[in-house]
Amino acid sequence: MTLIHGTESSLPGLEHASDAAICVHDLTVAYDGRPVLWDIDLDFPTGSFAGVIGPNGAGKSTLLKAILGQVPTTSGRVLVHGASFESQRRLIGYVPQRESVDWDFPVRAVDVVAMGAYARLGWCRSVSREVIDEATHMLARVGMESFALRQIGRLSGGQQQRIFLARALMQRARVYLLDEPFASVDAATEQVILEVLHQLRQDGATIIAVHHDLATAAHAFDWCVLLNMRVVAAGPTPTTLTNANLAKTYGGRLTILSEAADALRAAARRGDS
Amino acid sequence: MRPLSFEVDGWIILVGALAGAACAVPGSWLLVRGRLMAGDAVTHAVLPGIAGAFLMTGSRDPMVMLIGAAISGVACLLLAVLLERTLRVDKGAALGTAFTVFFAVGLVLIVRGADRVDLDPSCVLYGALELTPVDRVDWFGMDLPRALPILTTTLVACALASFLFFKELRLAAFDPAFANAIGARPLVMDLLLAALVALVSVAAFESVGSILVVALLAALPAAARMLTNRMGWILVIGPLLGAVAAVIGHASAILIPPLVSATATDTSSAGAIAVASGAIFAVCVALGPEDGLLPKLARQSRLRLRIAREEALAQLWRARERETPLEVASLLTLMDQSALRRRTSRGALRMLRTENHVSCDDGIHLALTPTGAVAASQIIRSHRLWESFLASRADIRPDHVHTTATLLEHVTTPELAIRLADEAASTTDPHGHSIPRAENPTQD
Repeated sequence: MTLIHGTESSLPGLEHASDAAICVHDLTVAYDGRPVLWDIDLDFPTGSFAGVIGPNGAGKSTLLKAILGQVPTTSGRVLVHGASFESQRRLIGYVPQRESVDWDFPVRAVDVVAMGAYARLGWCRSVSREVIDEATHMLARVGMESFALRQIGRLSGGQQQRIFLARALMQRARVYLLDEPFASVDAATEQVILEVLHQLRQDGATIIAVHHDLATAAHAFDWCVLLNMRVVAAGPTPTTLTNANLAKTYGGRLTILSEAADALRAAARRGDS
Repeated sequence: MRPLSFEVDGWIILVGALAGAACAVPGSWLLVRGRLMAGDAVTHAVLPGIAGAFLMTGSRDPMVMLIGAAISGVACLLLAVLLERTLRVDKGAALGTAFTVFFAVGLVLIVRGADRVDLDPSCVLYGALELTPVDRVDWFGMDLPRALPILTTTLVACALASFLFFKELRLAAFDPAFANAIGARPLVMDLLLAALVALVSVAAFESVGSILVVALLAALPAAARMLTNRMGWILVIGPLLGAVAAVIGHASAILIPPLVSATATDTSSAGAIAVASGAIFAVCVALGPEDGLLPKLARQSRLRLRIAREEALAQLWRARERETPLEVASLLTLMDQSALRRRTSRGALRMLRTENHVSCDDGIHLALTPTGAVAASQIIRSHRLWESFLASRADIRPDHVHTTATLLEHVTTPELAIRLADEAASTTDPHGHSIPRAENPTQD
């Protein structure tokens, strides 16, 4: 077990900080019987701007989806501001990966942004004039007000990402989870997104973003989680984003852990048939 | 040829139109959800339920049939999920296997049962639209074809569900992950959609047959999608096109066969409606304002013509710089190097003559008129600005930049030209030619 927990950085133990916005305890997630996240213990302090960093296949998106209750977990629990995700759903704003939706869908930018208010509106209530006005305001915050009536498929990748951010703003959340918000966006979009997120944090929100670009991580985030199937290191950026920790995160999988995961999947498959 | 009569054909068209409209509502949602295949599966999978319910109760009460249909439809979807999860069969293969087996079982039941009761297999497949005026029912004191109240209720139910749950259905179809995260339960919307598909298949199969249900479910929403980018309009236009397909289909089923052969009589109206749906889709694919084939071709040819025009102006400007006037033939040869078709080049030249940008005073040599020279200078300006930019700022070898600049000069807006001029900061291109000044003084 030293392989999993034996890092010198400030890994939280069983006692979690009570002021954590998101608290993950002993989380294990498996796809198809094969674990992709092992025994994750994490606290994201309230008001932090946290980056979840790691190589491809490290389980970064899976961690977000597990926090959001979108993937079945093998073990563990997640608390949002001290209570279960189910009861605190309304506190969370979510920006999925841009590739997760069909951008040819017949819908306008402002309609997508208005979707952020659906949870407030409740079932069967139609989208009111006020909601559309608020959505237009959110579009202005991400510099997209002149594209409100544009069909989403006619927007560039960076513009689509800003639409998703505006939709999350509509959720009026206290914790924002973003899955690769800076992936393949133009420099102007990256700047706009960072500004909006910093503004949110100044207003007291917590930001957690999955990120793969090491070059920008150091100045973008004040809190970092280095992830590669298990937590390699977590803490304030200056003490966490060290060369030693990065080498450990990106220097290949722990071979024994990968082999064990494959063995578990094989066992799961035998058990099925 | 028999004349069309309102008493008979009016009812048939009305029933067909209601069936087409009702199918197009859940069909539109399936289309944008990318789930038409699942809709296809449900329409087939309800057959054993309908047949079984009829054979067991001997009743054609729509409620009885709907219950039977719901049971077998859900059973088929569950079987598909079971095959996929436990035996690791591919998703499409699992669904395809499950629904064809269910459909086949339904057919066997009907053929076996047909000996004892009045149930006709061909009627199940192709429907009995022509017989709808005969089979009547008393509905709130009105003497109507039996299919009419059933289909009307179905259409109203589908429209009402789409209206009430519009925002939930749209969210679940567009972004299920986000819907899940905010607790909007996309799975419930998928189930609602499956229920609506089962409902229209049961309501419509008796009159138009299960094969036509599939055509109405897919073709008309897809046609509507070609015409609009708004979900709300798809839900209006799709059902309207369904009604149009019924009118065209039934009329052509009666009117067209006698034109082909003197001895021919009416053909199947349901079949003709399916063909009409396909034809409507084809027309929409051809004419759709944004993605339609013809508007796309027209846009492309306009673009090619614009490029040819600009290319001709640029070549004439260069000829003037060399002080060697060009003949038509040599200009066309120069334009060939830009991969332009001769026909396009000639068209561009004709256009420049009528715009009075190019003159041909001696009948042999072409020359730029004053207005033509202004237009040409701006094209040359953006070409040479690009060359200069590419060579000085992008570190591309000067002998490589011409081709790239030729591509970029045609897409350079005035705003881009201003920024480019700032970046390039040069009055000559890498080959030593001077860059013409901006026509609009603010660009200098």
